This record gives sequence, structure tokens and C-alpha cells, in this order.
Amino acid sequence: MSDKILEIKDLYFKYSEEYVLEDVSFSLHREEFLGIIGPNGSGKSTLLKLLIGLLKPTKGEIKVYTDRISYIPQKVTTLYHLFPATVEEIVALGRLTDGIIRRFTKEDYILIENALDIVGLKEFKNRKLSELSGGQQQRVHIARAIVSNPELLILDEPTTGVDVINQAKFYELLGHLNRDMHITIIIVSHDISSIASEVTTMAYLDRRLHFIGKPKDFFKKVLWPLEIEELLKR
Amino acid sequence: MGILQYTFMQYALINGILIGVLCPLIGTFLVLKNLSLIADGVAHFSFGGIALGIILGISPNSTLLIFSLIGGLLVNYMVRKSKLFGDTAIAILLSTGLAIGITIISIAKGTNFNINAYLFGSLLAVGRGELIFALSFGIPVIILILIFYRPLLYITFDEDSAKASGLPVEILNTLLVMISAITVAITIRIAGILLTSALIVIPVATGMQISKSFKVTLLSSISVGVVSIILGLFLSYYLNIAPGGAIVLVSVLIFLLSFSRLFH
Repeated sequence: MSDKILEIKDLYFKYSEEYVLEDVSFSLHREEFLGIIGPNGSGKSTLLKLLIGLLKPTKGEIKVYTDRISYIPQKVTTLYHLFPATVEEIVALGRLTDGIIRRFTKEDYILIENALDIVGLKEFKNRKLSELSGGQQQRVHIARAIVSNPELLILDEPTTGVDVINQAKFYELLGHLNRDMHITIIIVSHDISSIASEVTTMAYLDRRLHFIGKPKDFFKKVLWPLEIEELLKR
Repeated sequence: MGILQYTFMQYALINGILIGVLCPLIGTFLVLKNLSLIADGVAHFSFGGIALGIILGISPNSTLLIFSLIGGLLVNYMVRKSKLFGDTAIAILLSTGLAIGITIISIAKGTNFNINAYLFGSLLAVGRGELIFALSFGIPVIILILIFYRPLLYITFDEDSAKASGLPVEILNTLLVMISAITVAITIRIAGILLTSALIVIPVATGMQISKSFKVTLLSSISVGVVSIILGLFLSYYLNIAPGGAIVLVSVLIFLLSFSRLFH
């Protein structure tokens, strides 16, 4: 296995009184594709925010061995539907990782064009972001990530509000980025079935890390017992 | 155009065009960051500075600017570090500044202080000194925005992603607040404390109605800002009304026109 890109040791985190994350330890290697699932309020999004440095651990340590990180948050921001920017303007923001005060060169625009091609939105370049469907908007964010040439891509519930067919296409695209462009990916999701076909590693988080390993073991050790338990309760 | 032979009108026009460019330029970022009230808070807060300058017998320009900057930094700090909501923080700041100003004025009852000129703006307020002050702070602000245009767009669009990508988000936010405060300080003399934030918000709201891209939004907001100010200043002169009111009414009219365009 190739070298580590991320190492978490004895991580604890609380916003106020109660711990949201407890005793979380794991490491991730380059070119892995990790899918994290867990119920609502299980600390999944918090874990991602800790990874990218938006939050600081209460206890424990997080080591990230790259500074080329791209983060795609949950589809939120209240002014999203009003935001006056074109697809190209948003994707171009990804190029700022190579220096924030500089003139864009021809090469920048070629990279932007290529990224839009990869996500299948070349002809939408000059369209207003808010005119696109939910699935297309998520692809714009992927293109923004691609142009920043990331080693680690982190996504938080990216397919919320996207229809099933486009969800499947979206995960295929992520699989392509992981296998062919060698980008390590961490994704938080609740739709287990769609991420299971693409990820190389699966984690089940509910305040504590209950499982991390191969997807097939996840089904055997975690999901099926959980479902049986659920069935027995009825 | 006989009125242009008056020096005060020339000064007011040059200063007016400057703020017509500046306010929407800053406003586009503030409005989209949901921080448009920040300008209002800073403008009201700076009233304390104006009163202080006058009672101390020093130029209100400098105290106004200092108070604007302090106000901007305070509101930025309160919004980020405390658990107060942005608008609560702004409301506290706004009333504190006004209270400081009113207290100072009531202590210094005897001073010859034309409060109306500061509240509603005045054509006569812009002298040579004011114009030099406005240009020497306003032009660097425009240059800074041109340099930091894309990073500012990034933190406006999605601050978390910008931070994850390694952008100095805190520094950029502070920069945005500082240049907003400077813009407010320059705008108050013409538009008045009460209507300064209108110039920062209304042209942007208009620009957003009619534009597809961020660049075009900026350019169209600036056009609306400059046109409103020029028309407003002329109306103010010929009808003898406060420039702040005239300018804002013109910009509201343009906003309504852009809005009705949607129903065609």
C-alpha cells in the first residue's frame, strides 16, 4: 500500500458539554476512496470540518500530509439561488490555490476548460450557476476541485436533493477521479448503496468509529446485523 | 450646465462619481455575504466619531474614518468570535455609536454643529480638503479590490471551501471590512449617515436583477450607482433638496424599473 495521506489519533471533539466525537483513530492512504456513513448527528460533518481545519480538536491529533485539499460542503448557502456568477467564474476560483494575487494565464483557462469537459459541462460554461440543476451544480464544484489539482478531495453529503440517476452518474465521476486521476477521496453520505460500488474503504461513524474496512466486510459485520436488529424490534 | 462652474459642485460631482463606483463595488461582496447591514452599522457608529472630532476642534474626517474602521473591526469580531448573530451585533454597534454622538452633542450644547448635514448629506460639505481625503483613500480601495477580486469572490461564494484550499480567509474578511469602513467614511459627507448603506445596497440589488455573471453584476451595479449619484446631485441642486435623499430616490426608481423588466 502507498504512503499515508491522513492520520487521526485518539480524536475527541465537543461543541459544548457533550462529546460529538469520541476516541476516533484511523489513517488513510493515498489513492484510497473512503465513504463515511452514519445516522444524523453522528459527527460525520464535524469530522470533515476538523480534517480541513475549520474546527480544532478538543483532544487528540489530526495529521494531514498534504496541503492540496479541496472541500465541497453540503449544498447550503441561503443566497445560492441568487448568486450572480457563471459556471466558469466559479470553476476559476479553484485556480487560486496556485497563488491568490496573479493574472490568469492561457494555461489557467485551458485547465478550466478541461475540467468542465471531464464533468460534462463544457457547453454550460457561460450559464448562470443558479440556472443549473442540483446535479449539475455539484459537477461545477467537482470541476472547481479538479482545477486546483488536489491530492485530497473531501465531500459532505454531495448528492442531497439530486435524483437517483444523477446520483449514480455523480459517484461514477468520483470513481473516475479516484482511479484515473489518483485523487484520494473522503465522502460523507447517507445513501450506502450508491457509494458502496465506488469506495475502497467504508467507515461507520456514530460518535465513535464503529467500523472501518472493506465495503464487503462492512455489509457482513455492520449493515446486516443492524438490519436484523431493526427487523427484530418490529 | 451652468452649475458646473461652481467649485463646490465640481467637488461634489467628483466625490460623487468616486462613491458611485466604490459603494456598489464593495456592496456586491457585502450583499452576497449577507452582510449588507454592516455598512449601516458602521455609518451610524461613525456618528460618534464626527461628534468627537467637532467637539475636540479637529477635522471630523479623521475621527470619522477612525470610528468607521473601529466600528468595522468590532462588528467583524463580534460576528465571528461571539455567538451573537450578525444583525444583533450590528444593532448593538449602531446604537452605541449614535449614543456616543448624541451624548457628546448634548454636553457641548453651545457648539455650532449642523447635525442635518451629517445625517442627510450635503452638497456644500465637500471642500477641497474633503475631496483630497476621499480620493486618497478611495482610489487605493478600488485598486485593492481589483487586485483581490477573485479571492474576495471566493470567500463570498463559499468561505469554508476557500479555507480548505488554503486561502487566508480571516485576512481577506478583515480586508473586506476595512475597505467597507473606508467607503462608508467617504460616502457619509455626501449621502449622509442615514442613507449611506442605501448606496451600498440598492445599486447591487439592481445589478443582480439584470446580470448573469459576477463581473457584469459589478459593472452594472457601478453604472447604476454612478448614474443615481449624478442625477441625484443635479436634482439636489435644482430642487434644493438633501443630496442623500435625491440620490437614493433615483436609485430606488432605477431598481423598480429593473424589477418591472422581469415581467415583460
